[in-house]
Amino acid sequence: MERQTDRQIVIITSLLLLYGLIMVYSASAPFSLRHYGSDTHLFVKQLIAAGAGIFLLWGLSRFDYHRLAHLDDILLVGGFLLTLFTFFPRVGVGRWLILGPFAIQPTEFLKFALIVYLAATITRKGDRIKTFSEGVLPFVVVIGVIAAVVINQPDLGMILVFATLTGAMLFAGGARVTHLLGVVAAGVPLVYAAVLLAPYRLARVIAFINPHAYASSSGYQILQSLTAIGSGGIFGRGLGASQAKLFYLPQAHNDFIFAVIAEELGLIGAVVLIALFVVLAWRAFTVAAAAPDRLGRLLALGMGFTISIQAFLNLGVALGILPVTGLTLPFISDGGSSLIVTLGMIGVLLNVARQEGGK
Amino acid sequence: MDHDHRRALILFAALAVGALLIIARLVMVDGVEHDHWLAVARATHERTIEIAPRRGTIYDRNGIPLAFDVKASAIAVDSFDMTKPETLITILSQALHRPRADIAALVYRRSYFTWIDRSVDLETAKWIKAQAQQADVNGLIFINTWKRCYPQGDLASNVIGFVGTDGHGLEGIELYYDKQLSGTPTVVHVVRGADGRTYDTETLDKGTPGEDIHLTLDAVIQHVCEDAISHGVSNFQANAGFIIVLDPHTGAVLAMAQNRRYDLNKFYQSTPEERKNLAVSFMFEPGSTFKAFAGLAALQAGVVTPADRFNGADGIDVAGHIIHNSEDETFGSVSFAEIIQDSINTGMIRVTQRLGQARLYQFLVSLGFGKRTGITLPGEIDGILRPVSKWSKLALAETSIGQSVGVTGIQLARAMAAVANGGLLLKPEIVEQIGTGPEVKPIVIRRVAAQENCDTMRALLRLVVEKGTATKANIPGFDVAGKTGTAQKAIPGKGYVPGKYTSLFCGFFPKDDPKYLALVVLDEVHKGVVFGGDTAGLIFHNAMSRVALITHLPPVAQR
Repeated sequence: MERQTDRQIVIITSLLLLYGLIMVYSASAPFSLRHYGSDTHLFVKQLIAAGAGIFLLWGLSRFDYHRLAHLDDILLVGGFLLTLFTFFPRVGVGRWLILGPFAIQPTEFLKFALIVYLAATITRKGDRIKTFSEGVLPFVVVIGVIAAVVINQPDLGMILVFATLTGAMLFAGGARVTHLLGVVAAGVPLVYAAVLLAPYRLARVIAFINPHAYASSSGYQILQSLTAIGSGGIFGRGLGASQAKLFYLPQAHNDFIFAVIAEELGLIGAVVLIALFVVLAWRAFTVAAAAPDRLGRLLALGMGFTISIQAFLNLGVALGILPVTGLTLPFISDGGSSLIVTLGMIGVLLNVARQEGGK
Repeated sequence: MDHDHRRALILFAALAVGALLIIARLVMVDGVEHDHWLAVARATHERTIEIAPRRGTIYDRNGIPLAFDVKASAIAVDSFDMTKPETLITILSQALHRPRADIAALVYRRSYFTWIDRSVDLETAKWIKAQAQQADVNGLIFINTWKRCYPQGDLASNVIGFVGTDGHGLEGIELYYDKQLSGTPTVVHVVRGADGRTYDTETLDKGTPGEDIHLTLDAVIQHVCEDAISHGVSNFQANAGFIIVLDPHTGAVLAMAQNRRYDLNKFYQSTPEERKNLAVSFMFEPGSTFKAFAGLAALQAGVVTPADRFNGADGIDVAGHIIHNSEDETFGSVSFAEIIQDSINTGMIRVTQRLGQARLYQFLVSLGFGKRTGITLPGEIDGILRPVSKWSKLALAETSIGQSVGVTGIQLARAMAAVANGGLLLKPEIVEQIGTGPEVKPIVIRRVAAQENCDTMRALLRLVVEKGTATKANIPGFDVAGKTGTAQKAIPGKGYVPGKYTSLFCGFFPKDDPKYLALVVLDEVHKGVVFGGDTAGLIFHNAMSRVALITHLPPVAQR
């Protein structure tokens, strides 16, 4: 049964997209001008990505999510293989896969695949989700394998997102809380080891705890970010007037774009952005509640929750609440992969919303 | 379903709590800590820069520039951006003619920004820029600035002074009028990126350019006098010497020349001795030149006429102390006119004994002795004229012949100008005009003597040059009048030291309507006779005869 496209989600998505495009232009202009000779270089790339993302959104909103769920294995394996390719010389650079003029971030696509895989698998398992050996353990293995690969990129932030969304979807899918807590308890030593084994991660954690002591090295990003945010005050310096983006703040147009937003648009602009993510999450939860089946509910929840939790993790880093992890701000940060995948996720959400009350 | 719904709500609640935490932190950072972070941002991103304006030009009275600013480059290295330091050192040491080691010490300094040279002329800067570009060397910073030029080299160095590396005057007019010459800087507020570029500039204060200073000095007269004093000092093997030329009617200083000079463009090679402006800061006993003032005081008091006769025999007992004539020469009965003409100490003392301590002292005070003249030059001293209450029994006699008092050249010249101009004490002026302001008008401080008494004294001073002690100072056709002085030098604690003299002559011409007044002072002549008339008087003649010629002053006979 086909219904009208969910207008609220479209409006919120449009607002976030517009907000992001404007801020990418503002935050990337000095960088683009210096490195590419034109202040719109990165902005134009982002516009192209937005076009591709909107196309994907439109396609997925019309592509029955039940059929999407059947592709879960292909998506997951495909995303995983793409991620493996980042370790190949020549094509792989850190988190990125270089394909001609494009640099894509496979973990973004893997994130999408993981949500679809989780929703499909949890639905298939039905009540067996409540057991540990069948309900929780297989997912722990999958996440463990993915984490073992991604940590070498290295991208701890994305592992954090994967783990959180998996936990949330298992929780929503009916897994026992004791099982989930057990896994978390077992995971703590692993995270501890991961931090200790990589000196740069340890430095980031120490810098996070005391940024002033590391003002010139690891704490630099946090201090620059806080300087940008704090100097914005209630109303901000005004659109385009950021000083931090003049190469003081590293990653000003992607991971730390929120600092530029808060500097230019102040507390008010930042709260508006946060509110958009909260409303989006709320809409995703209401779509889930009204979804025709368990698959639709888990998909809607997974998509909405992941976008918002990633946004808040990113904000937490920018505000110095969390250690620096290197996550993009969905919709907003410069970067095609993130934008296209985020819009694709909205596409799935819209498809679930179209089938509300059906069956 | 209900169970699932509850779990979904818990997830949403967790997100909402996360959002609230973030907002709370935002309120903290943006609200409570806003001032702190704004200050941090200002300190790291923003700068207030002062750009010095062009410094005013110093001109002589005829518009000849004596000091002016030319465009130049200040060069610094940015060690953050620097590449190929060794090549850079080679280029800089070659261009600036400085040893490699000096440049290397600066280039390798562990700071972000280091000045190499703050005033490099444009040609050299251009060459350095081109060389650096060719060799692909990064890290040089060129900043437009000004460089002070002194086109006349050492001319009037004691008056003009110079500007230090920070752009402020350190000596002379450059120091005294630093505020006017400097103007006020343009204050610019800039936002600077971490890449070192300037992204936003806002002019907070446009600033004002420095004002020009027009001196009363005449560069030509100055040059003639410097030439004459330099030759004079070397001919007579003196320690030092100086000449002051005044316009006796206005108090304008036309020349303030001394043998000790230095190239203002290389001020850093000068010694403190060379930089001292002798005309205002060298104190000496005026000797017999003071007879002109003591004599005028006596005329003004009406206690003497030129024809009054006195005992001119050598040796006069003053309070148990015998004071002699110069060379112990003895005279019989002499007129007051002869006393001035031949500079007879014993006669002069008898003249001033008629006057008394109080009236002599009062007259000298009214002539401005013992106090700075207020000329707008740094380093002027007061000289010494003790209050009459502290005078010993010998003081009247000593003072009348210019002993036991200390004067500066500018005081003495100014006092003689009062005699020359008919009795008006003027404020000596070195500056004619500041910027586009009004021309400085002569300032009459007071009338010190009546016109007719001055006329009388001028006639007596004419006799000095005509047939007295200063015949060598004469310039035929110009009626030079003046007074010589040969003062034993007193050294604190030792009293008068044999063989050390200050030789001087102060004269003006033409006698009846003086155009020029000049004081020539020599410190410690070591060759030949030391008499003021034979040494300073001769230098006066050499300098002022050329001045008369150059300035086309018509001889008296032809008027």
